[in-house]
Amino acid sequence: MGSLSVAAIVVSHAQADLLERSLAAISEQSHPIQQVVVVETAGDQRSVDLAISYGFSVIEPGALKLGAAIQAGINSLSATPGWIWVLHEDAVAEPDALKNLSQAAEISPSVAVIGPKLLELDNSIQIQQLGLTVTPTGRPFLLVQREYDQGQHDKAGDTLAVSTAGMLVSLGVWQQLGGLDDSSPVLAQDLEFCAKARLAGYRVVVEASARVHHAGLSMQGKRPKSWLSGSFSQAISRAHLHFAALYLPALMVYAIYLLLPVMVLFAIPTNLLAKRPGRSVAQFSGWIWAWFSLPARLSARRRFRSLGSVKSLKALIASKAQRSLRRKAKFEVEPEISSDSARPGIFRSNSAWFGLLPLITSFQLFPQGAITANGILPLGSSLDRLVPFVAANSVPVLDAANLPTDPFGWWLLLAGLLWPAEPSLGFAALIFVSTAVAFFGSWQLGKHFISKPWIITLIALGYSLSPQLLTLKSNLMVVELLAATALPWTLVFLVRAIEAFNSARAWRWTGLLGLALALLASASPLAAGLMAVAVIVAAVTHLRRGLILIWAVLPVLAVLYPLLRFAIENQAWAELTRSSAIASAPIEVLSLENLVVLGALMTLSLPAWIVGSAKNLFGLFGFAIAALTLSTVQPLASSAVLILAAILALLILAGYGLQNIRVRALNVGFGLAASSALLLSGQVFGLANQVDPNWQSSRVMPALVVAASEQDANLRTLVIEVGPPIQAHYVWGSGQKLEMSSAPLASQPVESQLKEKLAQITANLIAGNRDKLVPLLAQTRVDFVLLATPNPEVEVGISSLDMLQPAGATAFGVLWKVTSENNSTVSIAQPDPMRPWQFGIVAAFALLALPTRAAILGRRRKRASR
Amino acid sequence: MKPAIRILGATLSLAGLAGAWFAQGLELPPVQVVVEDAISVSTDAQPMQLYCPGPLAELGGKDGTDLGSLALIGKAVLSYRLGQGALIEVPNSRIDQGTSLVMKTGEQGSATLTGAQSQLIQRPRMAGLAATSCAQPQAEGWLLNGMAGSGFESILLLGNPNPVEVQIQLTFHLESESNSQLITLAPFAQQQLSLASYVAAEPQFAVHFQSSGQKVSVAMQNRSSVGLTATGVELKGPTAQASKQLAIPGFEVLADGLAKASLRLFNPSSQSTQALVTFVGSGTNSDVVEIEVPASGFGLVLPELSEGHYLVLIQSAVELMAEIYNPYVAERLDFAWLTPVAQVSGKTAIAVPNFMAKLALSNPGGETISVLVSNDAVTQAVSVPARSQLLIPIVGKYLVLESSGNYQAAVILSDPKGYAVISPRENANLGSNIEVLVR
Repeated sequence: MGSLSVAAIVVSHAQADLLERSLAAISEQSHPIQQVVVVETAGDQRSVDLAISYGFSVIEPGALKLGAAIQAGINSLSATPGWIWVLHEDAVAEPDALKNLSQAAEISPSVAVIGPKLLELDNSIQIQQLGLTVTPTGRPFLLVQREYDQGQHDKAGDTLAVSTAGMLVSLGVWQQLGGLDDSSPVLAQDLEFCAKARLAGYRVVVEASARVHHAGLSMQGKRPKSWLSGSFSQAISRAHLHFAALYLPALMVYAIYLLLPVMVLFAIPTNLLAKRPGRSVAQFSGWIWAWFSLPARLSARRRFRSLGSVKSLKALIASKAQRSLRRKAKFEVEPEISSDSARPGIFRSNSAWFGLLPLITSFQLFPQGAITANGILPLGSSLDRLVPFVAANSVPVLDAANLPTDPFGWWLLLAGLLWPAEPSLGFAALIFVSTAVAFFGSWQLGKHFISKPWIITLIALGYSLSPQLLTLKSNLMVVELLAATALPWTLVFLVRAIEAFNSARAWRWTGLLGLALALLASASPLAAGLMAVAVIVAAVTHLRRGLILIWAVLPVLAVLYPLLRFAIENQAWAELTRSSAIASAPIEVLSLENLVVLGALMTLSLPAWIVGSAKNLFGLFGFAIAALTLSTVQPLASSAVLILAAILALLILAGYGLQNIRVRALNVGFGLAASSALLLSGQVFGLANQVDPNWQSSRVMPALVVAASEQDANLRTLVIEVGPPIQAHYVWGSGQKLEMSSAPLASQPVESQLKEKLAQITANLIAGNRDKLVPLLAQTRVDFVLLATPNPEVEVGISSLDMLQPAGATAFGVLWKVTSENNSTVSIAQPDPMRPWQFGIVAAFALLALPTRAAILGRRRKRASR
Repeated sequence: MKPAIRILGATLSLAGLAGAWFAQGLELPPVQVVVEDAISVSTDAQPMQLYCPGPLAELGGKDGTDLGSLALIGKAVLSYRLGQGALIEVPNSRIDQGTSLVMKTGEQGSATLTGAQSQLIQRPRMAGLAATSCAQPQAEGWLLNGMAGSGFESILLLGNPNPVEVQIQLTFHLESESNSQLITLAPFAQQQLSLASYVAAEPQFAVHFQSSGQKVSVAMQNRSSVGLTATGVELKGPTAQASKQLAIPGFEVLADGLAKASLRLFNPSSQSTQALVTFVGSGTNSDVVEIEVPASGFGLVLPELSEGHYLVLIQSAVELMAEIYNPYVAERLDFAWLTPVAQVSGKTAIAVPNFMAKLALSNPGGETISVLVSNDAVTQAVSVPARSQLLIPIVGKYLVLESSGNYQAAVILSDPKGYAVISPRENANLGSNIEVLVR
């Protein structure tokens, strides 16, 4: 038996159950303990009674911080021991723990602080902590983490620091160093104390034979936030900054503190890729905390450095090899098998081949250029030309109209990303593959509810070859078509996010859900509204993932922000139902196709009530009813997407009932009937119903104008169409493209003084009145005049003007270049300060959506102690 | 789930879906799209200019033996009416070449300036009355009254009233083919072009002209003869623009039993069409003919009409052009081509050559209109019933018509020595009240 006099200080904070285990373990220690003092900082009576029942001393000093609590415990000791053993109420020591720690203290007189091997409380073969150190920048670093204890680290000795949980410390050294500094961040207190001991010439060691099982409540977020003064990430971030301030050279400390905002900013993508967006918040709060508490950090640095040179610590800092080993260890994690692998696979079942059917029914839409039918304009000639108009707050009309460009521009941006050199082709490709994408989406959705691949395939074909979806495609109602394409995917991602078994996966699916919702919102705000409600309901009913899931609505707000702002400012609420100038007009909801398809599906879906689970049935029927009800709201644009949403939900419900039919003949009969109906639909509403896409080049102005606009972005062309009345279009740059469209333009007349001037210029051009035209052209920027409709009389009138240099007849009309002097200035719209945020939010969700190690491995893990 | 809950759920979902169904009848009213108004702009129009094609041209000399000769013969009598303002240069009353009438200032409209020329000719190979209105030069137009084949001769009279050279692209549309010819006219130059070599002996053809720059005057002179007997002459400017609805007033059956009138239709589009031709006669003498006009082709209607006057209305799905060939028998034989006339309202002036004349006043609308007809001496109010026309004898050098309704007018010169129909036009350059929709 050792001769070391030890008093145990147990810091407790209203965790009576754990405290009981801890106190029981203390009472069973093989090394005598002079006195045990339980410091209950939460005033929990049960804990107090428990301590008394064990015959230990109890004090209730109030809500003290850790350092003060331990000091209060020391102060209450009846006799002064040589050593104190610090324990938390969530630390359960093995019977020989203190004995082994004492022996280590006795063997080496220079040792002042000894830490035990901390093991997981609920998994006693896994090491939680075996000594602490920091990285060269001062970030807390665990020497051993999440490894099974096979005695492989039992030779560990000197270390920079040990945790306060189970720490045996010389009372003299404790008092010499002033104990734990409560002005320091909680997670830096033990590091700082131990490093001080080192500077003061003492040793800090880990005694691996002393084993303490530790729940790590603070690290698992099970303590009140006030314990760590924030989340675990925030606490780590503060500890990092604090220790850096202590340890690093002064110049570097100032540089780091100065560059903190930049560092926080640059860390955001990394955190998003790691599916830990909360870490950015922590780093941000760390930055704010560091700036506002700089005097305290500098004061701590003075005290720290007054004890000696930090050079002695260098050998104990985590080496490059240790850090590299940690990184490699992360790749050795065995991925867990997800529940998804037990479901049918679209490729495993060879069902993917059926995805060709929707493509065959619209083979006429194989991309051949820019689609220009049905009011669709070509897109900008390249991605960089298209981007400035996405989420812009002004449209290039006259001298710029303060109207938002269409949210549908986000789809155009996607087309541009698919085909940066020719976005029009990318857009045509999107439209071509849309029904196949819808097929895959509805298949992926179906497999979450149905186990038979052939039924899932029927559901997916039922959606992608439905008369409603094919009509959208064959009539080139592209806005609604793309919304209907995104719809099944939003539901897939929602289900996946709910089912994700770790937060990294949940963040990834939420990232995808956010992007899919944003795309849906940019084509059909009403459908996105329905989905947003579904997301909120899912978040409320699945609280475990709710706080992550709810973020998926953020990209919707980002995408719709300009339209929302416009609607609020102008009280034009109906505009919120239309996302694009080329959105289709309201449809007849009670059309024959809708009556037949929805009627049949309603009938087929009711048997699902015999076999289905309540959650799925209420969810899907509720969704269908909500979608159908919402489809009545179409003051400006078609609600076809909502009808399709109802169809999708009812299809799954019908499949739900069908998979439980055990009679083979019935299955075969139903399958054949459904297949025939789908093929008929493909023929009637797809192949035979396709309107001419009117393929064109993406150039909408004469080559000379386009070339000139490359040199001067402010170029303006006056395009005249002769007819009753004469129409004058003031065209910017290389011409009107789809991304420049603004749906509110149709209902909000643009007021501009330029209108009158342009009307006068047009009239004088037609009348051939040179004298009046010259001063007008001097005040108004017109670089080219294009007579779009052939009219020799007008052409002669314009040709008679000597300030117009003929530039020839083009495919777009007769062109003249204006050579007269121009003194006007082109007004440039101020960019919306919110626009970078909109892009930032979407980019952040794209980073979240990217599959990375954290999301792919999908390890069901607990938070590590550091 | 308990069976009771399942039954309740099924009932609720059915009721919910049916309720959503029912709600379809509660659609919100659509928001109206704002239609922007056009801006009415007025500017100073170019001074008005009319061009009279000048005297008739004779091919082959007096006897037709002087091969290669194509010369202007005689003088045309010019009559014009000035409303306000003055001409830059006052022309002679008898002109021996194409002549411009140019206003000093920018006033527009036929009430400001209108003119016509006439020439009564009596030569061995050419006899009859040729009268036409002096029209504004045009950059582009069609002539549909070409005559070729035995006994017919067509000559184009081209005039460039501008101080710069112009090129004129002439395209001859025949039944089976079309060919082109480029003519260059020096500043203020005129040229006569026999069409014999371009149109062969095609019974029907149309000529399209397009100037490369400034506006030009193009008129077609037609001559007919039977053996050595001249049977008429005619001079006409470009026909009216192609339209889906055409109206030709002033058509009279004047040679009943001797020669037949014919209606020539031309379809310049690439789509064939069915034309409905209605001859609205006085009293009950009306006839309706339906004819298919092929794409880029001609249609010919030979109406079987009793004596009298008719308003000819033509309707089709695509835009057509039309002219009526109308033979005339009096002391002499003659003929004229009648051109569709645009509807006008308000005030219109017509210069009337000094021959026996009638005013054909038609009302293509559905309600009776009242028109004030004035000459230099008297004013009379005329009421024209719906979808009908009136023929009113007139005297004087000009007529001024005024009405609040839409009407069409033509002046018929049916002198014993010849026959001609003048189809007046509203002369105006663009300038006032131009409706411009700016976007």
